[in-house]
Amino acid sequence: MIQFLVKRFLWLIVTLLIVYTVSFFLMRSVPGGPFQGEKQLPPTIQRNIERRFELDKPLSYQYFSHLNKIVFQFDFGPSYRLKDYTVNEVIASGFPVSMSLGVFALSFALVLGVSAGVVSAMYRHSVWDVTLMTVATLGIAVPNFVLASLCLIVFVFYLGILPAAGWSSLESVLLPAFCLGAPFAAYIARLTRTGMLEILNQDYIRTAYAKGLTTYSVVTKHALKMAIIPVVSYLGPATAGILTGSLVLERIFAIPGMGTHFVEAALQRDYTLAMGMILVYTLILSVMNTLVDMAYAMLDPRVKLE
Amino acid sequence: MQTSFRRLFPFVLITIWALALYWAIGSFSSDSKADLTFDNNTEVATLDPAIAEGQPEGRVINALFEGLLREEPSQEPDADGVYHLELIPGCAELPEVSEDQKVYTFKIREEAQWNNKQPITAEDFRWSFQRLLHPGTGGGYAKQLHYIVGAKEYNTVELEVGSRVEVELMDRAEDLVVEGGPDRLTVQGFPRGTIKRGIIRKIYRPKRPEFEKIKNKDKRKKAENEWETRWLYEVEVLEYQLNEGAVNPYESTIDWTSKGETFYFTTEDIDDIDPEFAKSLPPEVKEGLTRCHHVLLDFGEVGLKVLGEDRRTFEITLKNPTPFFKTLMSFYTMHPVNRECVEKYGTPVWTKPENIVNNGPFNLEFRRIRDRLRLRKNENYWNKEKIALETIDVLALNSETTSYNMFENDQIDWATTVPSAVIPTLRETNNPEFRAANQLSVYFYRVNVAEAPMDNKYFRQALFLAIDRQSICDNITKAGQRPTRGFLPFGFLEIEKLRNGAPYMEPAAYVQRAREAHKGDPQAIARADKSIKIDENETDPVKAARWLLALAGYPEGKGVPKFTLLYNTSEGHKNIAVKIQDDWKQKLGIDIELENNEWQIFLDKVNQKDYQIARAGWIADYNDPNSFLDMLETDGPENNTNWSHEAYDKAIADAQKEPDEAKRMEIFFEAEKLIMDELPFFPIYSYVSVNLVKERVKGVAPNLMDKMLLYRIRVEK
Repeated sequence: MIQFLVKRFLWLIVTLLIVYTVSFFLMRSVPGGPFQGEKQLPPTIQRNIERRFELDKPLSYQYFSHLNKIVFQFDFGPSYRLKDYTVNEVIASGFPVSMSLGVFALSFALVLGVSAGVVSAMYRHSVWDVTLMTVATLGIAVPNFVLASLCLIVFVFYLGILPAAGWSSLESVLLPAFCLGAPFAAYIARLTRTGMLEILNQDYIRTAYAKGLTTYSVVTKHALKMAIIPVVSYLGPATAGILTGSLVLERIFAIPGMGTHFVEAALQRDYTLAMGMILVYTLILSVMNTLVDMAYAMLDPRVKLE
Repeated sequence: MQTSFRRLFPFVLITIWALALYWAIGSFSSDSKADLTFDNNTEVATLDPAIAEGQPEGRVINALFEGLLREEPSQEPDADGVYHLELIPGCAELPEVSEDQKVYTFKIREEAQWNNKQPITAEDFRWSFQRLLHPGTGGGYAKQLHYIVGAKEYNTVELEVGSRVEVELMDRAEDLVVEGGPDRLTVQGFPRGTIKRGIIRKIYRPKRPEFEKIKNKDKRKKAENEWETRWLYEVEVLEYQLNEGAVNPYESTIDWTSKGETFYFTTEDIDDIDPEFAKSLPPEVKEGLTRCHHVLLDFGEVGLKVLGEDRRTFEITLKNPTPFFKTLMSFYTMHPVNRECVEKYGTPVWTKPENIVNNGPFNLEFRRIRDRLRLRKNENYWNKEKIALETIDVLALNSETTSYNMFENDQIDWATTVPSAVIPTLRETNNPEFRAANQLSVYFYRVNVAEAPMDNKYFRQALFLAIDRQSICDNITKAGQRPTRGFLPFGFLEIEKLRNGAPYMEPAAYVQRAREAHKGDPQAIARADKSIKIDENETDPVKAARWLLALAGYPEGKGVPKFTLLYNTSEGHKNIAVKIQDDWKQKLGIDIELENNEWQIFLDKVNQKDYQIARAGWIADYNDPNSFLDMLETDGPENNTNWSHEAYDKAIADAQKEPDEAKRMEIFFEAEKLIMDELPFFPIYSYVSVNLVKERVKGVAPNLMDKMLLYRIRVEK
């Protein structure tokens, strides 16, 4: 176990370093800089600004100096565009927002997905099954921004029960969380249904019925427990997907999370902020993958960590 | 062990989930609704007046700070239903202006105070102006103070032998703490070290590189600047005695004729000095070299004076009579900042809600990045009785559609952007919430006149005349924009008067001017006449365009080298570009290509002059034609067309010196005519500002500068 973690940790460092290097040089090779605007500055002023952010130094110097700060001081530097903030401050403000959106989205995905899957499996080939699975297929196929537009029309302008956007109250999180969680809910529904169907044909389920147990206790006590294992293993990628997949939705619903900052940073050539975001995303994905692998090993004795 | 964990695992998972959900629900702060909520379109880049640029920043800074003067909408709107802005007293009364219009005397009002109740004096303004002008601050709008005596030289470090200078020594706190020099990212741009004052006796320059060899103008300027920063200065440092109670080195007695000690200063790291250059230096220079932060013109030489026992009189001396200078004193860049606050926390930490000290009608309550900031009425504002709103929420939605959705859903009271798709409907239904107003802003194309075929003025004229600008406004932009009557947008009333009865933009006028210029070349005229028959009073721009095209040597559009029209990626710009492409193809037989680039890449290309025709837009910084026309001065930073015209440069320089307002407008009008004849820019239309404002919001006054005058807004319940 410890060996596995050490190995993973080393790989993480290598990955981060590669990501850092590639992003660093990619960003700087794109034309246009962070301090270029429609209005041009006198060269003296331009030079002073560049000096302040070390942009006048050779690229190699900038590369190591920035890396050095990130590694040893965990300091991503000042944001080039949000001049009143450091990148650390922007991440600290955006991360909890995306996290909390993600938690709601994942909750939606689990509750809706598992219930739909169980119902479908129990009433196989019924109208319920067909309807739910059609919705699930659509849910996977429809991009979340299309779903968002539909939801806006129905819940905001037709029914008028939810706010259109913003991040000020609990109500405002419902729509974006639903739209973000929907494709994952659909996937979970299909996983649950397949799992359930497989389990429901097993001998021990027949035994349970034969013992005279009610359908309810057969499902909750025996079937669901086993059927949900594929769902649990899907949780890792789903969490990572939800956390990183909110870029477009955050824009539509004006949510001040990581996605919004990331998109803006890229568009505005905010080198330091973009770099901070990329590294944090990389870190999240790696950690999630490691956790999932560990969970597999703990749940299933056949899986060995290597 | 593993087995037991396996059994526990579901519970662990459920517990984690429950905790996460609990945390997520609890993470919402419940803000009360503000009196007014508006979408500011984008997160403000900074709240520091000295480095802020842009309309969204201006809206917030104008609420937090107050300059010497303030703007108020005129009593009555003009014929277009638009309010013009008039100056009213702000921190100071309206200034007394000397007869030669070069000296402005402002009297700071006695009630004016910071929100921590410290009184505001003229010294606050002088310090803030110095901070803005200091090259280390990096203020993009500092050039608006260049009209003041010595300000440009201070700001852009223009020094010569004999200049009186100030030198900031390397003894700031961080210089002394950090080993191996300061960590530059934490360095404050503005001086905090010891200031020495003296006179430059000699300048040692390294060998001048051959800048002429650098083709790219921007790179050349940069290299020249680089070279200048490597100069060494021999300075005779003089003693000065601070006046009683003074904090600024400039409030002191200094005898410029006295004898002082000689120092040798460099702003470069001494180890970085080019060895060859070092070899050429006399030994006393090499040994006595001192590194310093800045060598600048002595700020005492800049035309800013604090006068009076109570230090409330602020005297500003200008180089030339500059009639719009007063207007600049209401612009947000020139708002004062609190020295104690800025020096205590440093930039940018002083702008945090818990630190900021400001003097405007509102205070900053909180700020969430790319979400919202909240303003609350400043109870210590001298004129607080006039402020109706208790709280204002400023949102940064960054999407026109989201903004519109929230407006329609009654979540915001004011949307400062409107999706172009809904504008025609809003206009047709006469929606009272939709406020469109003529704006001092122009949509135009830049033409790079350095290369063929665009170097031919008649070719440019043909292209311009063939653009159906009315159709662009009627069928594409559709928000009530109008084709400009020159380069300047609508809204300059004096210019409008001069334009009436001056048919310089009529097709016939172009043809006639061309005929006159070609008097000595009847062959060219014959060639053009052969291509298309044209009346003396031709009113059809297309016919005139074809005639001019033939005159330029491309009859029927034959033989025109391929060229490209560049625009930044946007549906609106694309539609206009496509229409123009079609106009040129149909009417002149010229095929062009369209190219779109994402904003930053687009800007880079325009700045490098790596384009042939490029889309542009310009919003007035201040209410004066100069704000548009000085763009085209030779080598003006926003010229970017390679166009240079002696008479034009002279006109702009003359206008800046002209004290008589009517004459000045005439000069501008002549300059505009020159642009319309030469056409380095193709003006397309005069913008309108569009806002959606709920009817319960009163005191909006749609104005020429699209300014949001928050201090006079009321909201009816």
